[in-house]
Amino acid sequence: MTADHAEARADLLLVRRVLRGDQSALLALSERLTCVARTLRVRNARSGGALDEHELADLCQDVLLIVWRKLDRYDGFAVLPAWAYSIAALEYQNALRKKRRRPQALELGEGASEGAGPEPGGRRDDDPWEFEDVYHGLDRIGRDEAAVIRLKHFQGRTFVEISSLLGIAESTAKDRYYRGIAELRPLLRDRRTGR
Amino acid sequence: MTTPHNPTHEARLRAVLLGELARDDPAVRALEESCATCRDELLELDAVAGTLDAAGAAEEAELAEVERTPPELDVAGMLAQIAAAEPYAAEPRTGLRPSAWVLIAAAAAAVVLAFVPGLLSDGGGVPDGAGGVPEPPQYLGDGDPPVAQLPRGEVDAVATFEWSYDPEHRHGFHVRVLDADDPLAGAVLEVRHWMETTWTPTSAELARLPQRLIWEVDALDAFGDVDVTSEPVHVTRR
Repeated sequence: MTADHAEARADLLLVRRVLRGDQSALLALSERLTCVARTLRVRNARSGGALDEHELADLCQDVLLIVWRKLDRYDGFAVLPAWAYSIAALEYQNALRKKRRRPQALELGEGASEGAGPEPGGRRDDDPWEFEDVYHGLDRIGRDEAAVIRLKHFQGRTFVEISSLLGIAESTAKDRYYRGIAELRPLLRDRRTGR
Repeated sequence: MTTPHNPTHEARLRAVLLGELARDDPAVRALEESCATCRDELLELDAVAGTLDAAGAAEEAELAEVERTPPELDVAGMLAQIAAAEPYAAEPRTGLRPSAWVLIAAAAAAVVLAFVPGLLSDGGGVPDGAGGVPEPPQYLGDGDPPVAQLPRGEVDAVATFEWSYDPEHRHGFHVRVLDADDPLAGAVLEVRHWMETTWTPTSAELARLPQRLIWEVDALDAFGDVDVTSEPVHVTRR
């Protein structure tokens, strides 16, 4: 068992305690979820401080609520901070998009919202939008398939390790990966065509 | 020489994607040279895999940065507020949202208060049997809740209610049937301190059942108090 795997198992046990209503687990959970506030802060710094402190605090509360409501979906394949990170990162982008849309809509009227999203002019080295399509894509394809793809590309696991982690046959892990890539390909096609 | 795309090609592409066949294997190169579809497919698969690897690397780098960054926000306080507003203990056991239980509890309390003078003059106590006021759920014990088994879902008729519960902890049950269209109105049918795990209401009682109903079972502790409650089960009579 790797250190990450052991940590993820400990996180899963912690989440199960919370789901059973164990109040004593809350403090430990909040320790693990400080990553939400940290992620929002890092994203915000990369976006040039687009959100002020008040907006950041509101967003943090919103993201924690989403994480709280999704806790029963935490599967323990990744450590809890990494799982919460992907939710926080997506929600930051959504908040930023909303904020950008507001003044544009005021200035340009309806239809301006279509321009909201990644800034025109190509991606920067630390572009916070760079892999947004990947995260959205992984959210849209089957959960089992996305889990295998995440383990393979985000954690560098082999199919043997993935099959052991998920308790499935290696051939099943490969089937899910193959199916997941097939589902993901069209969702990432805009990236190739530069749209 | 060109060859039309065929299932053998597909199998090789899959093998490349799964890492069973090296990308620079002569067989793969031959495929690229002989089949335009395979060439395009391989290019796209390379791009997708490359994007995923890059996203993974970016995430790892950002997570390292996240770890170094102080949160500077009161996450524990925010989470405590959320946990208080949407507690988890109630949901897995009952399946109803806490806000619904708050309404039920408030409605029950209001009805009980309205009857307090009468109850006191009668010697107190909510009468057992049909038409009783539903009590708000209580979660006092650590045992597994009873599992309401039958009826559930769409049924032709309702005759008997059946549930399961650990025999070692069996001290009696309350069974409550609510109108699914008006659950806050209180139990339309109820039996209290019932010792069996099946209950067959009388035909007169069954006649009072609404077409769409919800039923649930409280398991009692040794003192006759509610220990745990089953998840509510929805039933529709055809």
